[in-house]
Amino acid sequence: MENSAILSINNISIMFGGLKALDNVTLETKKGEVLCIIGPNGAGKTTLFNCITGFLRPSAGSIVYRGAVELTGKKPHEIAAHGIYRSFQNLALFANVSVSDNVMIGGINRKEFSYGITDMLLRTPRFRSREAALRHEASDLLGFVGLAGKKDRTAGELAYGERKLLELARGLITRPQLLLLDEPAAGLNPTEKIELVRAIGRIREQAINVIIIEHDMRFVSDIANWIVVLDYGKKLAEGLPDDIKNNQAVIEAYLGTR
Amino acid sequence: MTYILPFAWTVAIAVPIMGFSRAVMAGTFMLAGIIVYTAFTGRTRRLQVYGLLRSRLESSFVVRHAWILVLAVSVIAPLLLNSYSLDVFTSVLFYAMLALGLNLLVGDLGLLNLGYIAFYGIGAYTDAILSAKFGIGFWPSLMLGGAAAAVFSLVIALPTLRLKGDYLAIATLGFGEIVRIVLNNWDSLTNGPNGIMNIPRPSLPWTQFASGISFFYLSLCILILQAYVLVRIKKSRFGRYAVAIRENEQASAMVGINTYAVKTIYFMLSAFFGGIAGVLFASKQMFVSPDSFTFIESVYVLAMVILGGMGNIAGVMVGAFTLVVLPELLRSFVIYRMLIFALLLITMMLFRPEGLLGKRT
Amino acid sequence: MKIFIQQVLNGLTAGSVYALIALGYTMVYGIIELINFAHGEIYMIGAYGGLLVLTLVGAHHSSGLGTVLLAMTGGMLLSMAYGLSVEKFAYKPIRDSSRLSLLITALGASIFLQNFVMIGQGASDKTYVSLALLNTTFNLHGVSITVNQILIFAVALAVMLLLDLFVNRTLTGWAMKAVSQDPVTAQLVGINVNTIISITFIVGSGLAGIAGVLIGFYYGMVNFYIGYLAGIKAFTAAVLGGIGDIRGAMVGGLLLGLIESLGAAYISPDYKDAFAFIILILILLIKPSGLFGKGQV
Repeated sequence: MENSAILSINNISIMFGGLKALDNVTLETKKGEVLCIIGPNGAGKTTLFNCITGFLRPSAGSIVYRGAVELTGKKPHEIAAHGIYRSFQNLALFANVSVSDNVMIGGINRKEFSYGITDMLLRTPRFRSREAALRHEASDLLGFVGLAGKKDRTAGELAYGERKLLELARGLITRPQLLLLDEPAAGLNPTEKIELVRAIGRIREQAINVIIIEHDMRFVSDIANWIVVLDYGKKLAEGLPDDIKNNQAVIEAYLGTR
Repeated sequence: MTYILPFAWTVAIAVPIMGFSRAVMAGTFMLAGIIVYTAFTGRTRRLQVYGLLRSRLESSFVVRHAWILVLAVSVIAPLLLNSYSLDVFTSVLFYAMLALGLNLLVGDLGLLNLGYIAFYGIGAYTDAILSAKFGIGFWPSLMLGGAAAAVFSLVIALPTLRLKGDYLAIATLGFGEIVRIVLNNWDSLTNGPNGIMNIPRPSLPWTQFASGISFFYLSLCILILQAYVLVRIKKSRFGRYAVAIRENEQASAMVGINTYAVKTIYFMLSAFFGGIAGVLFASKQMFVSPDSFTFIESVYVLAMVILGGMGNIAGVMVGAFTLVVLPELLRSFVIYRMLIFALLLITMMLFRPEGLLGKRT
Repeated sequence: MKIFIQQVLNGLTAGSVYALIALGYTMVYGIIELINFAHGEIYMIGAYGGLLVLTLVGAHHSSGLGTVLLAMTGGMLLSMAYGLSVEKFAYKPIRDSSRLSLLITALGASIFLQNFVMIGQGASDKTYVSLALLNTTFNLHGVSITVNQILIFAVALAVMLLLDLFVNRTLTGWAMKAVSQDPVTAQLVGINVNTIISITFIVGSGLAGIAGVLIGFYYGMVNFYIGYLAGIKAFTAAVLGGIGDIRGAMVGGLLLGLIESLGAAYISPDYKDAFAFIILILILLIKPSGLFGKGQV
């Protein structure tokens, strides 16, 4: 089983002031799995994502990717180069940039779209063909998430749900092997949520691993293979969706009977 | 009430500084400003019409090919100008180079550099020292002037580009002052406040750029080259990365952009162009002194970038043209010049932060 | 040794003034995260305010301490009026814009005020009346100190103590702290954020105004551009102490004054003005949160 772990988080802790935002958290996600991390506000879910993606550095513990790469201490762009993409809770798009450029920017680590400064200055055939290929793929992906008609708008002009889809498309062009989604369903209406569940399903079929932070238990049970519950920076429970739903400790944490 | 109160307030605070009659004048200007302001904000529909008209204009054939006309005029005009006007237009070219270079930071990356003129100064002094003192020719010192500016820019870039943009603004301001103080005091190298004289003009095997006209064309060629490089960058993946960093630095890092590296390279490139312009300036004037590289010059260049439209290459050049030629036409208002510039900066930020030719977002 | 002590004294004099100006920078930055470039000009306007009062009361060589205090009050009030006006007219309308817009507006406000004063008062130096009282010099074993210097120390000390009490012991001071930590929550608990921001500008500007008058007496003259250099130096002092930190600004100001004065004496007087900037760049390189700062940058 050891070699099938995509991401193993071992005993990580981080302090903010006097507060332990993450306290000795250990978890693992296996190949092809959709892992959901749930827990009340302030449980440390986003902090965990920040640790994985290099925006924060845990004070203790290790984060190992594919059994070989140590992620702690790496910079965000280095971690991205390993095929890890993360969406933000409050959306992080390039607002004054066109929708298609937003996606194209995500193509930075794709060798087939890369060219050098000489190519750029002289507009060599390589420059033209690779730019065209990148533009083409961006437009395919926008079609995939249902934004084909809005390529030339700026990202700031899109509606909330559309922006979430755009963030997903920008993630997909990076060809991620691990996708971290921070509350993707928040603020979506029921139809959009169904769309999102479908999109995540299709992403999973492409053998992309997904870790999702979510509040909505119904949404979580629809998509998760495995659930980890965080509370006050500690791992409270983990298990299959049905087990978690009936776990007494989890219910207490959510209902606040303590 | 909305009109009386600001009027009274302006007069009240201006009296101690300006005396009564001038204070009333200042108050009247204030009043006029407020009336214009309310008229503008009250009629956003008219602005929408303006926007629509502009997008029509922009997509029209004539406007998209206006650069050909501009180029033709810049090629032919110098032949018809007297030497004074030619000097003014040559300095338009220098300022356009500077504004384009600064625009890489302010427009594309959204970072403020308040000591940009220091790189102009470094370029100019590199040329002065190398060609006047050591007899190294113009062409090597053109490249070396740019390179020297780029290397010095690292002194600022490395410590501050990791921090919030505000720190860059203040650190560049400090850097600009340090450079000027050093130029003023390092007598053995820079000849202090007296400056360096007898800087030779550039030459090629078949020609000497001795006349004003030939120098104008030389500068024009370099400006065109610079603009070409900038357009190519803007339309490539590298240009997109810079804009991404301006829009959202965290998200840029997350998609895999090495934000620190991109910012550093942009900063160096920006300094490089400043240095090149400085070399041209020095060999045009055949003389340099620290007085040409004061803080107010940095502000001047910044105002050009902002007026024309941050991030917009054509707009920035229009900004440079306007802010060099207009003060020449309004010579009698010379003491009001900086006051007007300051108001321009403030009102642009309030009404059209994207500049006159920038895209409304 | 005598030279050293003399330079320390002179350094602390300049440093006290830097500290007074730095307080305004740090308070404004703490509350709206804006480098208020116009703050140096507010200080300069304070110096003119003092001059105005001196002219109005017909101050002469033998005028007493009362006149000095009156001039300080006048400078303070004028600076407060201008500080508040800058905040209301320039910053408030665009407080929610991008940081770049805010910085450019602040820069515009600074240049505007500088030229505004130049047009109103002329470009030449204006002299402060030289008071016999302030020029009285004490000599202790070859080290001299003037009443003027003592006045600067005393005023700076008194003002800083009052400010410390104001920030830490009054409701308004607590409200200021609350707004600087989290404006949204502060609003929710009933604090009028706009009022608090205005108060911060008024207090900071008042301190700068006092500093302007003190320096007017010390150097005996003012002109329209003294705010530029003093402004950046005071900002450096604020960064040195950890921007946003009130006590840090005080220490940073004194430290900067000392470094400048000793550097001018022992390294080179020509580069006196460059030391501040070199320190600024060094501190950004080594410890951007400042000597006493703990916050992230």
